[in-house]
Amino acid sequence: MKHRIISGKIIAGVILLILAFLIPIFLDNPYYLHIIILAMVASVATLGVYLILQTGHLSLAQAVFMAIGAYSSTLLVVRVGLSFWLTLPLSGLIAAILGTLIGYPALKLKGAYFAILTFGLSEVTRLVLINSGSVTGGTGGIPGGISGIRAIPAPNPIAIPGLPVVEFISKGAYYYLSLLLLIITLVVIYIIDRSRKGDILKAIKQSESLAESVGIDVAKYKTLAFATACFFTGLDGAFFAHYIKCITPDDFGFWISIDYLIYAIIGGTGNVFGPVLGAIGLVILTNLSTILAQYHVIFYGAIIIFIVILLPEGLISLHPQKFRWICRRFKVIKVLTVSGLKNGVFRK
Amino acid sequence: MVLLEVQGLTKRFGGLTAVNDVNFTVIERDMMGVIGPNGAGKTTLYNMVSGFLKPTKGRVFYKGENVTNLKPHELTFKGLVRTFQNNNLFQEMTVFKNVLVAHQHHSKDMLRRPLFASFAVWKKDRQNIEQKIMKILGYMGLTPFKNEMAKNLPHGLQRALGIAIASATDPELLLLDEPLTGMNPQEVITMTGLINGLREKGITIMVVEHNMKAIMKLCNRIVVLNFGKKIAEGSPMEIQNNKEVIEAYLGAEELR
Repeated sequence: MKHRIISGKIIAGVILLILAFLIPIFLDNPYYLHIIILAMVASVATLGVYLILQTGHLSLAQAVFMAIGAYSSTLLVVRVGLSFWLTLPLSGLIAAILGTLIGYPALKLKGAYFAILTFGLSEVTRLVLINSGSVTGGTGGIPGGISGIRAIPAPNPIAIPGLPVVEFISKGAYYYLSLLLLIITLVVIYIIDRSRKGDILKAIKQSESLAESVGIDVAKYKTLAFATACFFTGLDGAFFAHYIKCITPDDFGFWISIDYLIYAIIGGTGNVFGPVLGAIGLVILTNLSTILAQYHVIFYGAIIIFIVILLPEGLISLHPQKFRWICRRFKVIKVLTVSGLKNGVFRK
Repeated sequence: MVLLEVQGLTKRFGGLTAVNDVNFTVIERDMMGVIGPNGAGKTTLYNMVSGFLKPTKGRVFYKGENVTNLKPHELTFKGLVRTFQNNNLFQEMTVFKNVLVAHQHHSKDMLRRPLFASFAVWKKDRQNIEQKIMKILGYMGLTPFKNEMAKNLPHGLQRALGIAIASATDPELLLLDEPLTGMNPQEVITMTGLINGLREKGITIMVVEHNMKAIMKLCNRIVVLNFGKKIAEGSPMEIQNNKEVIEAYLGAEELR
């Protein structure tokens, strides 16, 4: 069984990786770096949505676990005085544990009901955060009042022997940390996808009852997938809090969860890279199209509609044949429009 | 040896009693038929025996062990496996993969190579597993379709695949749920032969079916349900001559 030692895909991947590492060196503009960091943060959460989708369930509550990660890390650092480097994994664990507790009963619900439950969870979380001012505000030394936390400290500088001390002041350090998080999440979920565990999840997605009857512990695997997604989302939330340095419950609302879902769908849910592509593409698009002032929402909406019609399997399904097919579709539209104009269809 | 014992099994859905105090036993190497009009509670009975539904009352014993509250996958590990009435398959997977997934729960998973496995061991295990799967496919007549998507198979082959999937889990007691539905006479003959063959391999079988000819030919014992209650149990001869059964179900049908 001969395989090509280095396939084209691996080469492309390595190049992308190198480019990703080089970006902060060549791109000085902190605003652009900021957008890319936000894009990478969104990618991790979107990957969480993707993993849960692989079990056949639609989660509208990823932002909740971002919040859990964010608030856990923040409170542990500010109130308890732990170092960010300790609270980061802790936040992931807390999110994973809560994910297990919530997920195990929740995943017993079928499709739509699970989604509705996660919607409810989003709202409950928002209200809890708003109303727990005594924990998240007040005299603990976290300025910012009732429901918001301001002045979250940056991560402590890392001293890796042999290298200069890494301080988290400029965007560069945050960029690499976020990139590292994204890469780790991507690699783990990729491995899960391609392994026997991935086969089990696909089997569960296609028929839970059949999977159960051939010996697969469906509840266990669904909960495991959910908890894993929550773990990475929790890490992501913790990073986000210490990067943005100011969090409010609205940062983690239901609409944010919907955003992650849209990124996953637009990017394509066929493989691991679709969600990342979707997240990065759409976050950059959203932020850059603000030059269109009030029209940027229309622009964004139009793009999404376009993609849903022309590329129902997502951006990731774009390859040369598809591209030609799309161009042909365009020609049809153009011809129809022109002939319509000629024949006065559009005249009043 | 008594393989399966069902005691006082009852299922109530609110005001509706779907299964009412059903008792029977299945002995090793039996071919036990379960018949009854539509709505008699046969599938509900299956769901309770195989762990998909919790009984309102009653108990299920498998090989002497109380398995009433076990989940389906746990029962599968013990050797109790069921098939499904509608075509319940992994639609987006190939025929081969469908059976592979079913088989994998008691294989050492070398087909998806774990990161640090030795290549030689992996290769040999992979060959063994492939051979086993091909044997199962061959027995059910699915060999030429091994790379076909399950959803593209014609109906008869989908039912065959369902049974292949169940038999890949090395069952001791196989609960077949209407295996002959939607088949033409030729397919019925083939499938009946295959089911008999499974019994010859040592698998004890229960069959829910509506095809009376097939049931009478295949089974050595039959249980009849009507409105959730067991109204008769016995050999095919006894059942055919049972007045209550004839009244409830068989009507004027000619039996051989």
